[in-house]
Amino acid sequence: MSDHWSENVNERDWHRLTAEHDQAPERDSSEWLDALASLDDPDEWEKALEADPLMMFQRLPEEETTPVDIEAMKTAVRSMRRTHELETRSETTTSREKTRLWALAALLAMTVSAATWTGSGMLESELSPAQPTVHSQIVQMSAPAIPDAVAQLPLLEDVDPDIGPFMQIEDDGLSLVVVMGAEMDLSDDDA
Amino acid sequence: MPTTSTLRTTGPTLAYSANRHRSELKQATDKDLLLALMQDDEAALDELIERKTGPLITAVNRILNDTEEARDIVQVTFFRLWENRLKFDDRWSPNTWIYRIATNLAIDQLRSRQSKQKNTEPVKLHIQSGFEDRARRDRARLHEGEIMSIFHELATDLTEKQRTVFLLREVEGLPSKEVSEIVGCRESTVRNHLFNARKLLRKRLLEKYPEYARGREEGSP
Repeated sequence: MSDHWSENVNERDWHRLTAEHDQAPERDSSEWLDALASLDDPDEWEKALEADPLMMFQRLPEEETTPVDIEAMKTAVRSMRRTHELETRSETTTSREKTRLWALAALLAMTVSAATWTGSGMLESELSPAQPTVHSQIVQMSAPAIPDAVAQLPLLEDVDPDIGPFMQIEDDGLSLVVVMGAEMDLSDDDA
Repeated sequence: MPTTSTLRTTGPTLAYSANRHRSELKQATDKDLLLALMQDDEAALDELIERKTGPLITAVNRILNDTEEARDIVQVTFFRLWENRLKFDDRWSPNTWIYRIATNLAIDQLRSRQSKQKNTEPVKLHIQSGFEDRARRDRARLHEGEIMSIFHELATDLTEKQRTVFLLREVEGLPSKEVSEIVGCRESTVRNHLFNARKLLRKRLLEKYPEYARGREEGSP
């Protein structure tokens, strides 16, 4: 009698448990978690499925991964990272080159402007030798280096060299012409 | 100028140090590994790959039903994990953070599939071919592969979110709160997705596989 009683007490009521889970599937009671842990027992598995066929999805297979798979994954991720780093570096370099070119162009323009000022005597008369202005510093620092750098750059076909003194810079996606003290006309019908 | 003896000891010392570091990482928690990742520790990424590749491929494959796609997604997941390492907030559970990346990629992949043809393969015929007599089928002897095929056939009618929530909550056994953080919705929405997914799956199971659905059919009011 007592054995029969304990057998009934220990038997899991899958119908009740699955019905409760159906009503509130977002909850995890300890009784439910214990029941799930017992599903490796074939008897419990059969009873659970009998109570609720959706229980079959508790046993979806797991993918088997070998050490070779893991190493392959590490290599693939590493390779992906390297490729991304190289691409990023390449983009940064291109962008940096363009920035450098623009800076050179701006420097040229400022140099020309300062040289013109100095040449006409407008600035020289106002300068104190002890306190050089920014313009004069630029002239002193950049003037020797720029002509050599610019002289190596190719010329644009459409620019007429007779229009006056000009400097020209070309790069991917960037063409810059600096013309000093002259007018420039690039139209085709210029006679 | 380094001496010869210094040069001799530099290599082995570094190798020993790297090995010791790797063995320390083996003992580290997932959170420690993510924090090490934030310090640009590549060995920590390797350790995470060792720990998470299997579970992630399993989880993503359950969503996509395509092992090769799942592997690709997991690869991108680890890559994103590295690229976004500085964004990790240590108030998050590491699993939530990693699963969030992986499931979002899987859901995107699912959406990008132009046709659902791939998911509606006649798996039922395939399963039936293994049985001469339909009446002899025993639910207790259902093979895992067959269950997987049945799930993917029935899950075709679920939305991506319903499918993901069902798998994370019911199959992976993650708490609702964590599922809501992974999927990026409220817990009440998770509950709705779960409820609707279960309802739909049960309905389709009754329609397509009544022999398996016998228990609930009889037990339900």
